[in-house]
Amino acid sequence: MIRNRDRGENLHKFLISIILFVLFLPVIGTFLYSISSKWTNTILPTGLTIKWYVEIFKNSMFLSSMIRSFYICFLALIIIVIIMIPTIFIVTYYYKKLEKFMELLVLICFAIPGAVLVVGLLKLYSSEPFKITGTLYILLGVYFIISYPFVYRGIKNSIDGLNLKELIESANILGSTTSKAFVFIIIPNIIKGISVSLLLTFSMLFGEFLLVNMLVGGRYQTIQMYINSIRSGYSGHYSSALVITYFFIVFISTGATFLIKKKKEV
Amino acid sequence: MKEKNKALIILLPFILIMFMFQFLPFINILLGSFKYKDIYSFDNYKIILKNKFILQSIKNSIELSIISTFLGIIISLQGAYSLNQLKKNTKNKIVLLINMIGNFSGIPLAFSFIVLLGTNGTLVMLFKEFGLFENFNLYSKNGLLLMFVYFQIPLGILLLYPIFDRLEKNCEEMCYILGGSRITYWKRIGIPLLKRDILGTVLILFANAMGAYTSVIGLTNTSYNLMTIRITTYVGGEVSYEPGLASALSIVLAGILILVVLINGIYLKRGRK
Repeated sequence: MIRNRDRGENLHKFLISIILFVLFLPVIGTFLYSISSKWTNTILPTGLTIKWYVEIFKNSMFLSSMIRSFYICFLALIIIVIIMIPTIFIVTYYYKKLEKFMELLVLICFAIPGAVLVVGLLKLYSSEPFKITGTLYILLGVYFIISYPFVYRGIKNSIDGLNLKELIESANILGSTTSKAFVFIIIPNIIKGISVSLLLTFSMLFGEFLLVNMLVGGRYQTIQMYINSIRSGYSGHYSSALVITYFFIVFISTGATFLIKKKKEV
Repeated sequence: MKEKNKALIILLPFILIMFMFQFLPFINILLGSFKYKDIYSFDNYKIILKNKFILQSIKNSIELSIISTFLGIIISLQGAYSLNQLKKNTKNKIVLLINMIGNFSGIPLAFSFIVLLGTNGTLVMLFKEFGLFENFNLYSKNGLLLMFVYFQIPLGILLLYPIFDRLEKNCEEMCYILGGSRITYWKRIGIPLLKRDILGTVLILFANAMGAYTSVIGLTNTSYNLMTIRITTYVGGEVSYEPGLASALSIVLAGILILVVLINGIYLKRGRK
């Protein structure tokens, strides 16, 4: 019986390995391509080099697009922290009845794809009085919308894990105001949930292309737009190194969420 | 009570942003979809129903989404099941890897596919040595399908792997003791128990594929005719600016997706009760 189960586990290990291998194949292939000096008509590359990476980090277009991507993501996250998190808290604490509506908003924000939102946004905000197409304001607004479903679910789960009413009421009895209790008691208790939600949102926004391309355009070239723009005219090795660098950043931010989650379990 | 009213003020920025960037645009699209040459009518929708090119985009989108969802869910189900048979430590590590690869999307993903499977792709070269994949064309429906299935798998596995926890080992053993086979177990116990979550995942994968845009642009630019591509070229293209048609087609797409997501929401809620 035990031997049988062992064999079963081996089979599952094998299946998972195949799935993982196939999923990582594009990354592995691109990585090999990015460190090879020449790879044509052979099974494996003929020479290894890191010169493509050196070239990337010497390129000012790359560096500025990277800075732009980080900048816009951080701005969006700051707005989320300042506006969305207090909102979720207030609805949960004072306006329980609105929760259904918040859930409905999650569904709507999740269901309407970027390609659709763009149509309305371009028509609304391309002319006066609100001519914000081409600026970062419109992007921040729409990033808020697309992040909402993920942040709401994450934060809500953490808040529901607390005994919110009791915590706040005890703080009130001890003489603290509710807003103080929110900042000094609730936030520290859900800080891990917040960090995980923000990191996941970061990974998503960092990879966003459609909205920034359509709403702001070439004036604000982010990393995805940069990768898109160099598809022709540049060496494939150079672009591969770029893709790997991009993946590495996403890789780190996803890895960080797991470290945080792991700590929570201990 | 006073405090509660004060709290209401803090909600205002949230309401304002939601209103400006979600509701207003949507209402604008809805109204715009009925506006043809500045007169309100159903003409945009009539054009959609008659225009072969637009109908093709709808057909292509739905076809690609259904096939990729079908293949994606089968692979994810097996993956999620196998994942649950592993030790907890290994399982957590693999979930991390799948999470990472799940965020590998859009232009970089399309680019990786080109490096691997493009005309001079490294894998294509390798396969050609063995006489395989002679006429595989990445920049076609098959290429897109492959990429769609690729990005459905991590999402599918991540959504499905928690649900297998609900299957108790005892049930399975009991079934075998009573003389049932593996097939009876899955047909009578396993699948019925997980039916709701599987359907929910199917719907999310479908919505995911219907709304896909960036990876498509990365692979085939605007040459493969899909709904998202049509919508964005009608509103942002230099050649054909058709805001009315873009709006109407947007409503069709949003309608399909909202319906799908609502069915999922209602179905899941009923399951919980």
